[in-house]
Amino acid sequence: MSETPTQALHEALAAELRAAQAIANVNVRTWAQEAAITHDSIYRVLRGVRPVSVVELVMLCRALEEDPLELISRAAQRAGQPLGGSRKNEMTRVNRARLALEAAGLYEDLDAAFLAARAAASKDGYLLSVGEWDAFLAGTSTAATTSALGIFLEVPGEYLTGREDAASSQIETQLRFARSMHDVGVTRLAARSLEELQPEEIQAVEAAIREFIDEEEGPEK
Amino acid sequence: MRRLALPPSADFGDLSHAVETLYGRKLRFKEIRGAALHSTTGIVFDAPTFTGVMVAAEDSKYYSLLSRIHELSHLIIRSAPDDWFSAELPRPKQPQQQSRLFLRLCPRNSNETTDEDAVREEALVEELARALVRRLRAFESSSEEDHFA
Repeated sequence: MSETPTQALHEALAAELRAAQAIANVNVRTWAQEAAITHDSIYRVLRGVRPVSVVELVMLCRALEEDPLELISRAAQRAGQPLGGSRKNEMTRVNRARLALEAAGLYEDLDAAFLAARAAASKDGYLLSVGEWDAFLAGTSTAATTSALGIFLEVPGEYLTGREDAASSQIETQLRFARSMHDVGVTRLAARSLEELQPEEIQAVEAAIREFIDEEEGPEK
Repeated sequence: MRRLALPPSADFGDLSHAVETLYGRKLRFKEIRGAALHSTTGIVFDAPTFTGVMVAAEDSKYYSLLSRIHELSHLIIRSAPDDWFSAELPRPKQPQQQSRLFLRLCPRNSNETTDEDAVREEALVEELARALVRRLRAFESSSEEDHFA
């Protein structure tokens, strides 16, 4: 089940609080007394049933001798929404949008790419505007746009939002591979289960295919 | 398999030639070294002037041959005329040739072909490949037995 960014943050905060409690080795009753918060409230926060307020968060962290800002930062990172890096995130999104378009062979003609994307998105009930397309290329598009374009580009929407995790790294490797194949004129490639390969193994496959083409057709001009 | 019209003492070259005619492209084969392909049998790609088939260099001679024939079987199933198939044995559904999925690593889990289609194609291809290996004289009575001995 997909979750909203807000839900993801709530759950990440709860997870970080549980981790901090475990490290501090404090039970909930003691923690409740130290933080002046009812133990029932703490239980509900830890289970992610109830959002934690800023004041409660500060009190809970103090009771564990934990820095609340560091805990929030870790939680944001865990939720895939790192703090203080909005510019970096934008650049990541710009680069990923470009890579996904290049891998699909669409980057050379962005006007045609827009028309194709708009037609595909409309079939799923999403009206892609020129403004949102430009925002996508600039790394500032809405979640709805990245989701719709993710479907069009056959790339998970989370990847296009700049999320940093192992899955994104694997997708990036696959897209680089696809882009490389486009560059050497490969129009079709079939190999089931290659997605299970590690990045360095995919790079080895890419190098082998390029060498094979060089041998048969001569080096790339 | 009869429709491939292989000569009685066909070898791998004869099969390759038959598939070239069927698929309409020059085929070239190569072994790939140093990349563990795990469960991937081989890689087939269309370069501008030829179609390349790559299989793992580390495999035994028997498996290397089986892998190459497995990939050729994919091409046979993809390019064989419709009348080679029937209601009882339909052609497995495959992504469209112009789909970008062909440049992604695995066409499973897409809206163009499902896991069920992929599994069915793999089963059909493997069955055809093993039948073709038995048909080729090169491994008629030696290497397959050596391999499994």
